[in-house]
Amino acid sequence: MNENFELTISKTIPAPPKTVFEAWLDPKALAKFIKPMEGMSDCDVEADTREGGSFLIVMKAGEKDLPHRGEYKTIQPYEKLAFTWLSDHTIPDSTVTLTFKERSSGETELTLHHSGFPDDVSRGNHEGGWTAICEELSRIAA
Amino acid sequence: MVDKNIETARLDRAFAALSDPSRREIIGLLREAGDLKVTDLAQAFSMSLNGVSKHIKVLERAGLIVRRIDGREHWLRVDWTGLQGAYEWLHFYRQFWSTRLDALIDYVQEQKEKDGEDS
Repeated sequence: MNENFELTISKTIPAPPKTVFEAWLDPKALAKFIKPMEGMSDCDVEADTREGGSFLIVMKAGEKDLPHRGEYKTIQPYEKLAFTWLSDHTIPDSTVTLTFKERSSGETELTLHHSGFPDDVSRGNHEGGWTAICEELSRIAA
Repeated sequence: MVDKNIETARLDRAFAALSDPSRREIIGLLREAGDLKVTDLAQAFSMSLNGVSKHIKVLERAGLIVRRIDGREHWLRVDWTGLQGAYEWLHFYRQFWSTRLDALIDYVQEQKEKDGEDS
């Protein structure tokens, strides 16, 4: 098993999984909610929304363009979505996995898991290492 | 990319140091206590002074704890410099995704209101 940087965030979204899932694959929706701050220009989004397809999201901080790229790894309607996530801030091979769970209220429990694999650090593969440490760090950094 | 290599080496040392459960416990206790004498630490973990010293040296080299010498007493406290890279990554992305998910909540709520107006 690879040892990695990872974090998990869960939120309840007040809409059913279908709506939430589709928002992630709809360039117009993405352009609105994936921007850095409310009030900023919408992002430019190009997305080839099939497994193996790639996307480009250009966020706009004033005049500066902040491109984010990735490739869809898993598109499992209304349940799971996984894509790679590359930006200037990301260490190579970072992956975002979203899982959508319907709650009895009709809302969606959305869990986002982001993991990155720093190439050199992972080679050590120390026993009991990163996972426990990252859990600890996530708690502290929260 | 010299900086990146230095950063990677630093993280490598930090995570290697933390791969040992005893050393994680030492960090945990120091975090709660603020600072502790080496002798107190040895006593708390029922370790020999020699044994605890070895762990302390590894943690010091990794930039995770610092030692202050006051007369004959050696005081230790946590110093997270060695884990800064990991911290920054976690902190940055926790905030990054948290903001986006809140915006997603706003987005679906707006859509709901729009649909309500349409029908």
